[in-house]
Amino acid sequence: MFLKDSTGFPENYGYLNARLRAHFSDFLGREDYRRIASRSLEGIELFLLETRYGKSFRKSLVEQPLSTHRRIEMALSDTASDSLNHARQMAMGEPEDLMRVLLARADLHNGRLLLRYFFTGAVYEGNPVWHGYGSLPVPFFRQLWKSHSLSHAIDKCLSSEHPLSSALAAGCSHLRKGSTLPASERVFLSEVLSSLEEILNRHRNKNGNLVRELLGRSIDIWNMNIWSRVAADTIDREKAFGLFIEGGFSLPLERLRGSNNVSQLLGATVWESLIPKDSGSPLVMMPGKAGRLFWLWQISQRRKDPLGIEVSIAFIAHQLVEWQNLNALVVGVDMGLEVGSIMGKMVLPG
Amino acid sequence: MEKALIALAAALAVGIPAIATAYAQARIGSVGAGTIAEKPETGGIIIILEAIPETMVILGFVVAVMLILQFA
Amino acid sequence: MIRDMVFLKLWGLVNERSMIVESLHDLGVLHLQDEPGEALSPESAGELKILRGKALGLLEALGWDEWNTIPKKNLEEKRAILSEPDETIIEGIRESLDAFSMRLTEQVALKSELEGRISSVRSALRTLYHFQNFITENSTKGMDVTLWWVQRVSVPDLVSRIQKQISEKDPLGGDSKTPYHSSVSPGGETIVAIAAHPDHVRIVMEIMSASDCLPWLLPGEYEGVPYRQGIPLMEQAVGDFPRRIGEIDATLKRTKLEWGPKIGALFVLLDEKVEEILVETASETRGEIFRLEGWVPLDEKERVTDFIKSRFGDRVLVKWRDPSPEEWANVPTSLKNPPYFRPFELFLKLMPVLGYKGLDPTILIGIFFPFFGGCMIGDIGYGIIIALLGSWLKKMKHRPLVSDIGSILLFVAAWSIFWGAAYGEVFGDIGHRLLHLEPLWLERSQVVIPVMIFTVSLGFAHVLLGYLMGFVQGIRAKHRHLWLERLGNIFVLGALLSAMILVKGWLPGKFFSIAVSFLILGLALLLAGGGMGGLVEAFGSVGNILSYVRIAAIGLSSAILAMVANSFVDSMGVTFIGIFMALTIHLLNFVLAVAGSSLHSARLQYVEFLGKFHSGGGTQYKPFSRRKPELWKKR
Repeated sequence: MFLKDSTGFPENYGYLNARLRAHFSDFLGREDYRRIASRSLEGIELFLLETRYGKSFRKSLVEQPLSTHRRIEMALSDTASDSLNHARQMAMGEPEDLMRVLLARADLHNGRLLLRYFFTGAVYEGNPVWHGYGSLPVPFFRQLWKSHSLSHAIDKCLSSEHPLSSALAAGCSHLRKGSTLPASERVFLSEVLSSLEEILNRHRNKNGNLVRELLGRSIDIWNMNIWSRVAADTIDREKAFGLFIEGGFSLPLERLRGSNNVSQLLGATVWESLIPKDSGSPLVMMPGKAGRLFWLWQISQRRKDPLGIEVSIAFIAHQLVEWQNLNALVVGVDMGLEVGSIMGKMVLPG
Repeated sequence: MEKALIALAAALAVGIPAIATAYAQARIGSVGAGTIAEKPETGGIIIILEAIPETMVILGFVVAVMLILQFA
Repeated sequence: MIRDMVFLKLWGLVNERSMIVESLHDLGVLHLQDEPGEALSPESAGELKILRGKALGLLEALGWDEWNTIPKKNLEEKRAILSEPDETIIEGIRESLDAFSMRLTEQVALKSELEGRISSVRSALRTLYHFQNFITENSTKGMDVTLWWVQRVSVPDLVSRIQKQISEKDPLGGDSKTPYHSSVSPGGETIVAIAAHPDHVRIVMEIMSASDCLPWLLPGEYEGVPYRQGIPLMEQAVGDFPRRIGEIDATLKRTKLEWGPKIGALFVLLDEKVEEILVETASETRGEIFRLEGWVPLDEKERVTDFIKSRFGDRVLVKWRDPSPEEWANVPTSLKNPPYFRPFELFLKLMPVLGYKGLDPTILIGIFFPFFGGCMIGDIGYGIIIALLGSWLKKMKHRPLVSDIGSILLFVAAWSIFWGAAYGEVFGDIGHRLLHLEPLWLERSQVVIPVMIFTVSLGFAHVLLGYLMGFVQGIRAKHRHLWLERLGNIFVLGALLSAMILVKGWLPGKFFSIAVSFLILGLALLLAGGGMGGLVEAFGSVGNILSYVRIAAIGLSSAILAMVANSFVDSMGVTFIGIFMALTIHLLNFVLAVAGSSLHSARLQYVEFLGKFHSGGGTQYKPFSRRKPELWKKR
């Protein structure tokens, strides 16, 4: 370690983690959510104005005449993106590389949003809420959103120098050739994953392996999603097998292809707790539950190693979960749901 | 020759703890800098933590001076 | 010293509440018992909070942060208008802020759009410049050129298929080869330009489209414009956009200068108003009467009573009482030290807030910090320079932190001069060489051991004082473990001192039993106070005392470095290089001396001294007062 420190491999886990750990106390807790859920939309607005969301909220107050709901949505998105971008800017060397991989989920989200937009052919005047903490800048996605056609979007993707934009171009090209949405998404995901793998190959150590495990678990969820559709007979079996992505953490392709029920698929894997106690539980709920379990696993990394990538993983997950929870809360309040029902839709760590 | 060995011993008495202190302080320092950046009120405590390994090199200095004065 | 506090209970009429709260705001000494939580504020303050947020949002969008430039007179006038804000005033403010933000947003959006366009136009131009010769050459021959995204490996195959189709369609004119030229884009993709007779362009398009190749397009409004005409148009745009961006920047700058202070003043007043409403709603109301409670420094009691009496007469009832021991943990802490020592309160700002019944070490830090620092620097010449630097910094009254550092430096300078005289140093040995200055005590670069013994003795006294204060602190706070442990340490140190005196033979051997009884008593007290941890602490205290050797060590290195600097003039003579080298080393030594002595002296205060008795757990005294404009920067 000492030699590594003095031979030009900068890494600043100590500094970065100290700064990130200081922010964990800023995240909202169960009681905070409960208190906010009992307020009106305007009450939530006032609450957020006095918290760390205040700056983004003030920005959305000034920018354009938006509805209260939309204003809150924009402020939540801006704050989460600012916070994650700030975290990445603080990282140096290995943690910076690994953060880039961890935050690529924003590019995945934005890319999939675009693919769905082009697939449905719907015309939507406004801009969706982009995840602004990835490698590709939000204005790039805004530009693609405004494209007249898939060809225009592909042209813009190819003109960009970023490897992830080439991945998006590949996904769009498949869509243009008439592929289904899941097949195009698969192409996009596979291209992104291989690009991320290149970064991870530079860090073959405990931290790199943990990030690799995280990607593997994400792949597991994608594969579980496809498998549950096969099991529910909503997708053709042979076609579905082509949609699986290799490289899952605990669900190898053979297991996915050979399993006929949930117990067979998930038994003795990290997803074992998802096996339903009663057989009546619908399969379509499985990926959602897996997602929740995945978030909790990421957040639980927080205290595993104070000088490793674990703190960043937990920080990113905590931030994204808070964003997701507040969004669910705002929608719930807007729809007039009961506090208990709103709380049931959240991911609540601890 | 004997003087050279005494000088070497004194140098080692200061040098080795100095390297150890530097390593420890570098690790504590980077964490401390991160903590102070977020919570400036912890500055005093961080100075205390940062200062703890310094004792090694101070004791090394005392030993070095003693070596030189006693034997050189 | 920690100021004594008294508890104030104030009863007033509900219809005068806002006036009374406003007066207390002006007075600015009441630390409210229950600080009104902003997040749980009443909805009634909501409207004003949104307006306040909008005003601050505009200031942030403008990048305005010149709070000092808000004219005070203007602030006073507007404060009177906003004193009782009604619906019309609030509506008026909202409308003007909305109109202003609309104009600002338009400008910012236009600027960002231009910036986006300029980058895509530049990127397209780079590609076109690559193909410019090919396009010009073939266009002059009457051919049409089209650009396509293709995979590099398929370029020859595509071109030969096009060639074949053209030959089949036009056997007479189809002998000539289809010209093409390719380039790799910055993203690694291949762009190919294909020239074809206008009659054959259709064939090119069919084959390329059938092979899933996409046309390379000009950006935005230039799409569809022929490439040759597109180049000058885009070149013109690249020249024009920066000018337009510059114009927008200039407009934004003017707006910032003109509107910043106005919106800033509005924000300050809205914030004050929100704060007052929150205090009003936090007060307890029963019928026509409301009650406010909080802490006031004892030395302000009379002023508060007179002020309320003069404004509201007997319509406001005020009651005072001293804090009970059970309340000590909640009483806010406010420090008030003699003006000379006030700058040293800075040291406590880096520590948890002192408890109300804690011991304020400011004066002791004010004595020991510069003393240790001066002992390390120990040079009359450096001391004079530090004094000059200190007096310059002290004059910066508008920056209190810098001014305080200046004052502290003056103390350090005084002790540096004192110790410089003791060691006989003026810029190292220059004083001795030129002025035949002799040390009043000893020459530290030659005689190391006495200085080391002196600094360890100093450490012994300082650490002992720390333990004594810890003992007093334990008794005051009725913390049995603390005072037992500290007393134990005092005895152990006493035993250590006695043992050393006996070893030196300064006392007869029969006094040995005193040292042993001190040690036994000390260890017993340590075990009773802190268990095994207490015993470890006793070892730590020996390390703490030895730690003061750093004063001698740093001083020695500083003195030797100064002599090294002077030796350059010896070896190189009074030449430019000799003097330059000497000055450079002195400068380095000066910086090291100031930085090193400050840091190490601070460390001795924090670790060796404060660690023995300082405990936080207090609440900072935060009076309900109007903030000075410059403090808004901290938001």
